[in-house]
Parts: sequence; structure tokens; C-alpha cells
Amino acid sequence: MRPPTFRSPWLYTVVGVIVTVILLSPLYWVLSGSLMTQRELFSPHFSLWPRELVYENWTNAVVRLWPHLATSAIVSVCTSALTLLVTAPAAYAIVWLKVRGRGAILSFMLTSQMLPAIVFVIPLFVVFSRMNIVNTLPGLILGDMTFTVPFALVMLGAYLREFPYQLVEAALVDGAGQWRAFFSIVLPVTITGMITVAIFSFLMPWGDLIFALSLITESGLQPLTLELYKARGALGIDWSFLLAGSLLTALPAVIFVVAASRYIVSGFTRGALH
Amino acid sequence: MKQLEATRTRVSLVPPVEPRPLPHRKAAWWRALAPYSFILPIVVFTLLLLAYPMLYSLTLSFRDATVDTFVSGDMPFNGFANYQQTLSTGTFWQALVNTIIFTFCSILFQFTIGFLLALFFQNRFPLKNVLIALLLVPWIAPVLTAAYTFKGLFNEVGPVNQLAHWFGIPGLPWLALPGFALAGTIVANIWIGFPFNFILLYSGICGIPQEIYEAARIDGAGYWRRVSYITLPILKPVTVAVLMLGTIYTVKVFDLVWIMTGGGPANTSHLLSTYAYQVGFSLLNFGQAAAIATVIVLLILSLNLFQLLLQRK
Amino acid sequence: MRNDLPLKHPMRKPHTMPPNHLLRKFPRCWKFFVCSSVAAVCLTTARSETTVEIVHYFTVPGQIQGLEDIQKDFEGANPDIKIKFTYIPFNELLSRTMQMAAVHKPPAISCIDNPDVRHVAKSGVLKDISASVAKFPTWQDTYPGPKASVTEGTKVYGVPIGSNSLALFYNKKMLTDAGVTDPPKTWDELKEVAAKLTKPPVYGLALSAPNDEQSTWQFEPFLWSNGGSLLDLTAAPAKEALQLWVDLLKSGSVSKDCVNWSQPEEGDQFIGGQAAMMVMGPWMLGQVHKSGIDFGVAPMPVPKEGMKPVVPLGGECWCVLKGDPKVEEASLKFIEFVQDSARLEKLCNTFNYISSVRSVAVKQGQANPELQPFVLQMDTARARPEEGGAFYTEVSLAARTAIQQAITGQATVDAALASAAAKIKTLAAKK
Repeated sequence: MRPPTFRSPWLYTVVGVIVTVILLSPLYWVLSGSLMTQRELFSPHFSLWPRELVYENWTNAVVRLWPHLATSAIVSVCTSALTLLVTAPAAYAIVWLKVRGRGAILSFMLTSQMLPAIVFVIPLFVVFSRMNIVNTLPGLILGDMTFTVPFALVMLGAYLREFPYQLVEAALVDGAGQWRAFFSIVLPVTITGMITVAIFSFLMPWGDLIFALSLITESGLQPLTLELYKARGALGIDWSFLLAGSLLTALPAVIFVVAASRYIVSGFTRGALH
Repeated sequence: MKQLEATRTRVSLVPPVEPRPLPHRKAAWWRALAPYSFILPIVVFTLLLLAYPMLYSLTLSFRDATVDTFVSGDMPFNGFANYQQTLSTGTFWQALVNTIIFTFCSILFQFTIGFLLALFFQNRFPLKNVLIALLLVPWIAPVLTAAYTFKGLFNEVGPVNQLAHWFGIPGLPWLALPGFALAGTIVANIWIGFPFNFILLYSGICGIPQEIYEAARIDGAGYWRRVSYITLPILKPVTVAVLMLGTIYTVKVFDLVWIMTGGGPANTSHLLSTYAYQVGFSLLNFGQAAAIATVIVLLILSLNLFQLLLQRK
Repeated sequence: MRNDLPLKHPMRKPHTMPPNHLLRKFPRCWKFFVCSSVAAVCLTTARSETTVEIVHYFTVPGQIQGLEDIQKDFEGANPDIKIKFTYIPFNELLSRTMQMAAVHKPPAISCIDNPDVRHVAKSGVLKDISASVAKFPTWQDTYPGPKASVTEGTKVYGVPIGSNSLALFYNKKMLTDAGVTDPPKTWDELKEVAAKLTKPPVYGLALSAPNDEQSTWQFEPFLWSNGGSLLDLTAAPAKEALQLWVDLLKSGSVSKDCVNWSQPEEGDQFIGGQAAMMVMGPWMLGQVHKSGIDFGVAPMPVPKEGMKPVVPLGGECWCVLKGDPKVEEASLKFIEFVQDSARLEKLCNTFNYISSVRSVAVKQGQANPELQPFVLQMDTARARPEEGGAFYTEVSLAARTAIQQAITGQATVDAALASAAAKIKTLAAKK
């Protein structure tokens, strides 16, 4: 940890809080709006805080969203875990084991990401229909992996490349095998990168709308984002549900990140020197 | 860096240590193929789930795939007709220019803000974890919400105009004016995207061993010197990756613009993605939408190549 | 190094079987599970039950309730048919229906918005139900407008669920406060009243003119009541209609943000009290009632006194898709069931639609004065595809570009309409 420039670390906290408040200020409208009635939300009198707090918005949103929490959680966790499982060895092989065809794989992965999701989804729907996994959770997980895996491969490759290879070299000269070197030297230092990729591989399916929209029509299997999307009906926008629901859907993800980010900090302090 | 490259190439493929080694015949075969077992799952995944959609989209762009032909399945090939039609529409070129402006401005600000935040959060202080998680909220929150929020902020009688009044600047109907509508969507996109850059760069900087900084401090290098001569060069692979992914994701942004302006007013804030959607889902011309999608891919490819060339300098 | 061991020696295996007893038994348990679930699936599908899947985009809780009530009644009367409602967001309904048909898993019924019915029928996925529909007692009594939207020549591709159109909603309190006794009836009165009611930040009138069909939809009452047509945009009636809108925006009576508002957002403005009047359809009645505003509904203002308002027709249609004949038959049974007058009235009231069947609509108007303006307009209401047929969507796209250009000041009324008319001419040539 760099020795702080300021004497007290709390000064950093203050600056951090101010910056956060400024950057998150648009969310204030979401928060205060979620506690207003629809009529007050659009009244010409701009008020900083609702006249009376309408808690029903939140309770209704909780009731409506609660059944879908499990689906979102399962899909996100599985996507994240599978992505890491599939991508970590591949990233390692591509960066250091110099397998043939690594250029092709990377370019192909990247190019696949360049297709807009809407266009991507039509053939995916066709393939999944034939495999009969439309409207199933494994189908959605596989669908979500089509964007988490390329992302993970590119980022893990970058994090691994950043790592000074001399340390692994030293260990290999000392007689350790590739795998031992990987687990005892590379992993502890790059754990930060791995956890970060895992977090994003969790957050991306959590917030995904397009794939869920196309691959799941059973209302029982719909993740949170789809249920929230219903707020935007053809005939009216249910603002109370939309605003309260948005904050509610973001909440578990934030908690997850707080929990996981502890690992980033502790992983970092382990350092590279023994 | 060159030294590292040299040492890397000298490493031979050492077979994984087995508890019970196999006979020599198997070892050679196993040795050669082991690395490929690392990438086997990903190759299978790519072929099945990534290659097919890409090929499908590409062939679709050469077919006449509209309401009449899509369902029956016999969408006749019509060569470059879809491309010709696309390239001859004024809206397409406007959308192309808009996309480039949108991407460039978004990435510039997102990266800068993200990088500065990543540097700031290297210090240890109380509540750091909580603040990091909170700063991710713009990215986690549904795009739907962010879009409507900014739409409300830029309303003719909304908060932004009210602030402008306090400063004596006349308010504008931001999202209803041709140039400003795009600007409004860019601001919203910067807000949504900076956490992505922030966290990825932050992890990248975390991985840099402290000893290097110590050595530089002892030599008397100031803070920003340390950043430019140590952090930035070591961070290069991460920076390249973040910029590349950022470009890809920004060019594909769709929901945000669709909800905020619908591509209007009068098609002046269309991005290629919203234009493709209008063609594909409103006009139900899937062939042309696929053609526009291919153009998007080509655009991103060239933008990425451009970035890589800049990095090589 | 123990490579002298025989091949089958357990010590040679890289992995050994865990000594856990449960895991050894597990393979057998697992097989039992699979067999019993397969058996369960077979048993459930063995019952000869036809499932009718209906895809729709209705989200208002009242509408969902209305659908569920019909479902219960129908399943009660027909125990061997199950109804399944599948929600698909508004923007995706059409393409999803076609995708499902393309992979040979079509829904039984799709609730298609009426201007799209003839366009989708071109793809061949919709079943021609003219023979069955002719036997419905309510079919003869259906208004000509809705009938036209589902009829292509002699073929019929759907049955309207209900219809809606546009009228003028006004805030009674704001009108009386400004000293206005009656809602405006002509265009000049509209301009006058809107100006009187504009007290920043409140606007006199709210419109919805976003970059999609809703623009054209809101513009059509003005265009058609003036005798204009989308196919002839350079004629005087069209110019006058567009000029009205331009004037309203220029004078500040209508917010310039209307180019980004969908109709729901326009409704929010009225409900929140930021607009004194709005051009809106009956589906919003429920929400406006809930907000507690004292409001009234008047017919669309006409260009000159004595003319009749001509409004566009909205509303979805039950469209049967080609597929399994048993499913088709069950679908038709369902549609016939819904067309019963009493049920139809109940459903349309829950949806806040006007029934497309004259006798039912008249009853609705008598029971509910707020629906009366809409009912009166039904006689002259026009189906949108009458202008452009299967090309209506592209005609609409050209028109709304012109509308947006004119009202945001990017082009003059004449120039905007001229370029739109040119685009529409090229479309006509393609036909």
C-alpha cells in the first residue's frame, strides 16, 4: 500500500465520499422518485423530497420481484463459475503455453462480440430451439456465456500478461512443475484479476435483458431484469415499480461486490515477495 | 520488456507432474497435446455458440430476408442488394458518423474518469470497499432506469435546465434538438460506463508489485512521474484490453439511445445499432438489419486496429 | 515408478473410487430418478389435451385480470383445452411470432396490432379464417374500419379484440381557472385555448411525437379530419395539418420534448398536471381515474365547424397461426367464445377498449359517458393500412420523419412533406 500522502486516511474517505456523491447524483432522482406517487413525480413543482413517503411502492416491488431473485442468482453464479472454469486455463495456455491457433481464437472471440446482441440472438434462438433448451435455465446460462467468455478471455489474458514472468521462471529453474508454479505463484498475485473477471461475469448476466428476453418466455423462469422490463408496458410506464424495482435489483449485486471486493484487497496485500 | 519476451520463448513445454508417470510412449503424445486440452472447452464453445450466429448473420445479410421470405425459410440470395440499399440511405451515414462521435467521446471520458478513480482508490482508507461497490451502481443498475433518469434530467423543465437558470444560462430542450440529443445520450453513456473502466483498471494497478514503486521513490521520482513511467507501461496490456472491450461495448449500445431519443428527432441521433433495430424489428427486414450489423463489425474492427496502431507507437 | 503393474490394477488408476457408500449406491438412485421423471412426463402428455398458447404484450394489471377471467370461463366450459398466455414485450411481438413460426413452434394465437395484420399475413403464417368468421353472429355487426384492417380481399386474418382511437382529454379545473367553459371544438379554438392554458411550467396541450408509429398515429386525426391522406402529403390538407402542429409548438403551447415522449409519457405529463389537455386514447382512462384528476373527454377538434373527426383505429386482433389443425380448431373455439356479446362487453371494459362490434360499443357508450366520444367516432374511424396496405409501416416512417423535422424546426413544412412524399412515391413504385 502506498504510504498515504495525507496524514490521516479519513481525509481520503471524505474526498472519496464527495466524489461518489457527485458521480451518483442522478441516482438521487431514482431514490426520491421511488418514494413518490406517479402524480407527484410529474408535477410541475420540482421538489427535492417527496411530500409523503409512499412505502407501498417498495413493498409492491419486493413482492413482485422476490420470486425472480432465485433465477437471477442461479443464472449469474453459474455463468460466472463456468466462465472462469472454461476461460482460466485457456487464457493461461494462450498467454504462456503459446498454443497454436491462439491468434485465431482471440480474434474470433473479439469479432463475435462486435455483432449487436439483437442480431446475435436470432440465430442463437434457432440453435437453442433445435437443441430444445429454449425456456430453460441452462439455455440462458449458455446464452449469457456467449458474452462473458470472450470478455473473460481478453481480460484474463491481459492480467496474466501483466505479470512479470521472471518469478515463474525462477520457480521453474528451482524444479517446480508448470502447475505448481501456476497455483503457488501466479494465482495468488493474479487473484485480483480473476476475482474481478468473476465479478463482472456475475454482473453481466445479472443485468442482461436481451438474451433473457429472447430465450425465456416462461414467466416462472424469468430473471429480475425481465420482470422489471414489464414496467414499460405498451400502454403506460409503471414508474413506481420501475424506480423502486431498479434499486432493488441493483442491491444484491452491490452486496455481492462488497463481499467479493474484500478478496481483492486481501489478495493484493499477499504480494509477490516471500 | 524485451528481456521478458526472450525468457518466455525459452521455456519448453514441461509436462504436468503426475503422481504415477505413464509409459514413455504416452508421455510424448500427452506432452504435445496437453496444452491443447487447456483450450479444448473454449474451442468447442466457440464453434457451437459463437461461430454459428456469426456465419448465420453474415449469410443473412446477403439474402432477401423480409416478412415474406423469413418464415418459409427460402430466403433467396440477393447479393449485395441489402448493402447497396443501406449505403444509399442518408440515415445510415448519419448513424455511422453519430456512432463514431458517440464512441470516441464516451470512451475518452469513461477511461479518464475510470483511471483517475483507479489511482485514487489505491490508497487504503476506511469505507473503501463500500465506496467501490457504490460506484459500480451506475453500471449495475438497469439501463432502462438510467435512460429514463437522464431523459427526465434533460427535460425542458427538468433539473438540468433548472440548474442552468440559476447560472443565468437559458435552458434548452436538450433531447429535442438535433445536435444536443446525441450529446445527451453521450453524457448518459459516460455515466453508465465509467465503473467498468474504473474497476478493471483498478485491479490492473493492484497487481503491480510495490517494490518497483519503492525503488522509484528512493530515486526521487514524484507521484505523476511514477504513474507515467511505471503504472502506465506495466498496465499496457490491461489498458489495451479495456479500450478494446470498451469500444466494442460502446458501439453496440442500444437500449440507452432507443429509450432516450428513439434515434430522433427525425433520425438525427440514430446510432448504427438503433438504426439496425428499426430496420430489423419495425420494418421486419432482417436481411438489411444483418447487413448493417456486418457494417458495425467492420467499423469496430477498424476502430480496434486504429487503436492498436496508436499503441504500437 | 510402477509401470510394471497390470492394466487393470486399481493402483494404476489415477482416480480411485471414494469409499463412500452413498456414492456407490448413487448410480442406481440416479437411474431410478431418470426413469420416474420420464414416466411422469409421458403420463402427463398422454392425456389428450390441446394447449392454446396466446402471445400478447398486455401489462396493465386490469387487462391481465380480464384475460385470466376469460381463461377461467373458457377452460371451465371446455375442459380439454388449456389456455396459456405468454407475455412478449411490445416491440418484439411481431418478430418473435415470426421467429417461433420459422422454427415450427408457432403460438396458437398472436395478439397483433391491427395495422400490422395484413403485413404479417404476407408471410403466410396466419390462417385464413374467413369461413369460420362468417358464422360468428357478431361479425356482420363489426364496424367497417376494424373489419378492413384484418381483411385482405376475401380473406380474413384475424378478429379484432377491441378498438381504440384518440380524443381530447382535458383538465376541467384548469379550464375553469382560465375562464374557458367548453373544450375546444375547432382547430382555431384549440390554438386559442392551448395558449390560454399555458402557464409555465404547465403546457396547454401534450402530444406524443416520438420516432416511431405513435407520431403518425397522433397526427392522423388531424390529417384525416382535414381530408388529407398519407399518400398525398404535398396537398394542402396535409400542409395545413402539419402547420397546426408547428404553430402549437412554436407558440410554446406544446412542450418541445414531445418528440421524445411515447404516449405513456405524454399521459404522465397530463396526470402530473404539467399539461392541461392531451390527445389520448381510452386505454389511459384507468390511470387518469386513479390519479384523481377531475377530467373530461371530448371528440377530436375539427378544422372547421361542422366537419366530422376522422380518427385512426387502434386495437389488437386475435390472429390464428397456421399449425396443428387441432390447435387451430381450439383457437377458433376460443375466439368464438370471446365474441359473445356479454363477455365482449366485459372484456372491452376491463381493457378500456371500445368493442369493434357496434351493438356492444353503443352499450358501452351509454354506460360510460367518457367512452361516448370514442364510440361516436367509430363510425368514421379508419384503419391505418388503408393507406399503403402492406407498406403502411414504411409510409408511416417517411411521414413521421417529416413531422419531426417540421416541428423541431429542421425543415419547413413544405420541404419536409415534399421529401416524405418523394420517399412514399418510390415505395408505391415497388408495389
